[in-house]
Amino acid sequence: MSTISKSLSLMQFELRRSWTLGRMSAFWVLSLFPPTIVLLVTLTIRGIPQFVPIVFFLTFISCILAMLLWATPNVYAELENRNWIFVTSRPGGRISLLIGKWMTAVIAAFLVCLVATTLSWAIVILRSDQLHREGLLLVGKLWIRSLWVWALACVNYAALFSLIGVLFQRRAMVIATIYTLVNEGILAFVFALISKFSVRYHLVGVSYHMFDWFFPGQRPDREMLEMSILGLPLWANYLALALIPVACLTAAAFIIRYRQYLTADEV
Amino acid sequence: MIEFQNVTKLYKSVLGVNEINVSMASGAYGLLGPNGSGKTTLINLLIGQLNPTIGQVRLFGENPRGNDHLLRRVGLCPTTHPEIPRISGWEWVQFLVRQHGFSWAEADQRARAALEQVRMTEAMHRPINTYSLGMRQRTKLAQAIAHDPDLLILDEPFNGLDPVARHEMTELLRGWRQKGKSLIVASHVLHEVEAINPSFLLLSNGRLLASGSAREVRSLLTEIPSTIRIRSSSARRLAALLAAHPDTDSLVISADEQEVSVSTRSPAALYAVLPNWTREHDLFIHGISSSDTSLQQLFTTLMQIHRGQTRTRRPLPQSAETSASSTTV
Repeated sequence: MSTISKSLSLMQFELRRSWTLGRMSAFWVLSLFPPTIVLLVTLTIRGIPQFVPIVFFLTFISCILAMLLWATPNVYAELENRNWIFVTSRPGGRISLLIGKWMTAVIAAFLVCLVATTLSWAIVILRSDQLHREGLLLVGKLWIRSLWVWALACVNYAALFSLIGVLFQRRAMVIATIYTLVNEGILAFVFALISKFSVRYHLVGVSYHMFDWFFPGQRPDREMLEMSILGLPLWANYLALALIPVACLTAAAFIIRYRQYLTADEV
Repeated sequence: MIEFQNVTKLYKSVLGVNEINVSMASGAYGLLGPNGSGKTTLINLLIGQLNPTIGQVRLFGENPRGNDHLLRRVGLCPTTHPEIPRISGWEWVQFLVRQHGFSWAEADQRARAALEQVRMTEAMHRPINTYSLGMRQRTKLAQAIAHDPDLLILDEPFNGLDPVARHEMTELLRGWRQKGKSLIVASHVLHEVEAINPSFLLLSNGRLLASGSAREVRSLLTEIPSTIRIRSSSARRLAALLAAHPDTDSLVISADEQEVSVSTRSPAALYAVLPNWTREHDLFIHGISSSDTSLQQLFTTLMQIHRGQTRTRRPLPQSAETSASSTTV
């Protein structure tokens, strides 16, 4: 059986065991947080275009928080719940653990994004005065295309956070939070080369190309955009979003395979 | 089968194991040592979880570190119990068997067979977190044997087992040995492992102090100071004889005058005279027991010998199957 097949088996086991009351609560809190805020905002703002950045930003926060919960503690959680030695004493156990947990994080975070985006747009539609055919079609297209962006985000962030989890046995969540705030929160918006090293830069690039034509009237100044998110062509954004997870998972696989992780039973 | 060549493992500045030199052919072995003596470290080195700081480890002639196909031949039953909510014993064992590369159907069949072997069939669909300690221990054993390994490694397998379960575990391990498969049992209690009749490796403070058969270890125990409890219906007369013996340090007669606890510098000397006393003085001895705290004493004494602080009456034994460099005194 290949590593992929073993990883799928691990993912299935992981999904089966991770739906505890605590995890389910976390899932629903993260999923319902964006639509709740959107509902509150609709009390003062109406109209579909205005909600595009709001829904995206809120779903992005939920996505990152889901990653912190599902992807980052890949090694730490196993060592803590003492399942580590049972899995890693199997052939290729460390790699299937890494890949299986990465797949689980992708699925869990994508489900969070799916519920959050769907409910948020449903609220926007219901609370707007654009319940006609064109309005629904517009939101339908937005919804489908935003799911593509969230799928890319989940694959990339899960790989990145899995690498952090493999690198830092303890305080992985703290490190991942600091990384997100600094690199994805601040540096991604700096008009400099460094912004291109963030996942968010490339996600925003892809999003802009996908949503640009929806609202031509709202397009920001082209020169300004080229200095920031349009510094790279679309194919380069996609290439970066394809290479980041491969690079992160390869590095994580190398580290997890050869690193000595200590449990409390040692010494 | 196993070879440790001058192996030292350091956890930063803490010594895990120190200068272990031992060759082990196929067979059954008891890793005996107090808690924190380095048994788990030695096992983790053996299965490639850890890398030795100095020296080389060989399992089936190969370096076990990062060596996946070797893990197929090893079954590990570690001392830890997994904390897995909502998962049944059957699901857990099946999942772990799958990680060896078996198909769903074969993994299912092997998981069921292994759980049946450890008498967990009835409870196998219950969540693991509802199991008693003994049931968890047996489920752990099932996941270790389900893929039919050549070498089974068990770390403190008797922990938490009631007497019946201990007996069943012993029988199972004896059966395993009879199949011609190899076995390593780590424990801090001699008599638990003794029933499997393995060769022993005695570890303390990360050092391999001695190796030998159960009989040789027992004979070592008679060479070190310890307390012996003798049950006798003529305890007062026995106490008088013991008081006059030169190797007796102290005596206590129980309140019901049915037992004498004697602290002695040489249990072997007392064991030698007891049969004569029963004959000559018409004594009735119903039982003699020596607690396994004497094992702790043995390790202390061996450590003192190792450091050159004490002398022994005779050299420590070495079995034919094992050779430990650090046992010469």
